[in-house]
Amino acid sequence: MFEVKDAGTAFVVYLKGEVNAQTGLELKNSVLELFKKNNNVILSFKGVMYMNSSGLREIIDLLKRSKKDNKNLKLCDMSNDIKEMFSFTGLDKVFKIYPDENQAMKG
Amino acid sequence: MSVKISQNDGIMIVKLPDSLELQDFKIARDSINNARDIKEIRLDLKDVTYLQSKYIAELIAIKKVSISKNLKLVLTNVQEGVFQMLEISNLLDHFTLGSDYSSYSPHELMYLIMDPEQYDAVVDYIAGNFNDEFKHLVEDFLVSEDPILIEAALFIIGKAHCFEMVDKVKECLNSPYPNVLRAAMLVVGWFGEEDCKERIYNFLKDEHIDVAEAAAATIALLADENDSLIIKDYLESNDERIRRIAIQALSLINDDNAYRFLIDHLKKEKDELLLVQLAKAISYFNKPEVADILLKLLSQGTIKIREAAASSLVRIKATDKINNILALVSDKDVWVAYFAVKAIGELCRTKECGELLIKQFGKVDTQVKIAIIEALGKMKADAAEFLYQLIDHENEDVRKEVLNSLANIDKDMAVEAAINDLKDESWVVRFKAVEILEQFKPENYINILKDYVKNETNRYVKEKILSIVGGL
Repeated sequence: MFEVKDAGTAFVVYLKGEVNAQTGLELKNSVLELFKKNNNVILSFKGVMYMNSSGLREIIDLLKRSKKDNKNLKLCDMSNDIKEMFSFTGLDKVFKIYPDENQAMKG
Repeated sequence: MSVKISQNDGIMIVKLPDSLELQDFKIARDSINNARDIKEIRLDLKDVTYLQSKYIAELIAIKKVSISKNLKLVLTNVQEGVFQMLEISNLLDHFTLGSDYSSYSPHELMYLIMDPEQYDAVVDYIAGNFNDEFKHLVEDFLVSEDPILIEAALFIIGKAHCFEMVDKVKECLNSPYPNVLRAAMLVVGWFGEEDCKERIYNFLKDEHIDVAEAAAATIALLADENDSLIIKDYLESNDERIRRIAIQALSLINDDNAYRFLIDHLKKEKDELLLVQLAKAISYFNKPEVADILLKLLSQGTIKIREAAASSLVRIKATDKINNILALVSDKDVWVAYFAVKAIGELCRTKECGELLIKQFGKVDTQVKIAIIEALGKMKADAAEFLYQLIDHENEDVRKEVLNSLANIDKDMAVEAAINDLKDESWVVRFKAVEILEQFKPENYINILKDYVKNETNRYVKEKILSIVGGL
């Protein structure tokens, strides 16, 4: 579902396969745990093949909670199709989205 | 007014006054010289409307000081008059320009929002630094008569996640302004305000397509099991823009009903671009039969639809359908074969795939031949010798692609072919050959290029070589 890499200044979470209500919820809870150890988490969408609105809602909720706790959530490595989902819903202006992991680490 | 200096988090901000004097630059320079624990200097020129030419030398002196101390120097909030002076003095390339909205009062920020070039950045700044002062500013925006300010207020509330203002956002769903309606709907979606959904349905047929699109996106974002049924009706609209939005919304909802409706609509839709969109949308459903539907689209329809089907097959990693795709490589229709080869190049890594493509090479159109060469390179197939035989092929695109693919498969052979192709009659091939030599840097390649450039007649190839050998 996802793998986590400790990159020092941030955790990088590599999403895989499908982001739906169930996997989105698990992702959210895991990232909230990671935020207890590091203020910065990057979600890499490179391995995401499917995503629906329920999964997207969990990621919005994750952002909401990370903002509340002054944590830094960044997204990167989105395919054009995933980017389209974010821009369709205007969420491309809400999230910090970077072209790749390197730029997300620097940004 | 005099120079104001502040320091925070490794950044020193030096704010110059509006009525500049030489002394101000001296203070700035001394402050930078004496600074400790900083990595960046921001020279804030917000209040400087014009820079006399005598001060240009002072600006350069500050640049020199920052270089000597290994500090990054950014000129922030540069006004038009100062910008022109830097431009006239040919100094623009020597300074980094940026914005620092922390210098502006909320009232001044309101004016900056009216500037389309600054709108997004100012909204982001206010949202990122949201506090009581900005909350009052946003409240002022909301009661203004200006739709741009109201829209900005909504986006600030949304981006700042200021849930206590959600009722103000909902009130804007009654706005007469399309841009305000759009912003209000999007923010309601971000906030997960499901009780607004019924009202938002009214906007799905709005004459302003941006409003209709925001309505569909927000309904999709807030969707439950009933929403696909309602959105489905919009697939029947005479307006293809509405049908496009409905496809996007159903793709995002992504439940079993949405899938069924999109599959049914695929049989009826006539618009080529919407069929392309449908091919992509269907590939977003995790259903076992999707690959077969895409395969069917790959062998039917227009070029654009086939291209969308091929890229969707790649996106869903349809490796279990490789045999079916391979069968299409020998299709009589050039475009079917072309896109099948493209998909194989991305999906397949087995020896058998490479061998089959090589076997087909002699039987297919030039365009498909080029796709096969590209695919062999991507697959890193055991095809170096086969490709090398093609370096003297009659078609220049074939020769160029051979170099590309050899570079992926066998470095030594690629270098040998590149040296051979420096004599090619086509400058496109010669350019690629130079790129290969630059990539692999074989022994003595600089001298080879220096010798060769003497007789090169093409400007682009010549410039490329000179940039490598240091002759520019």
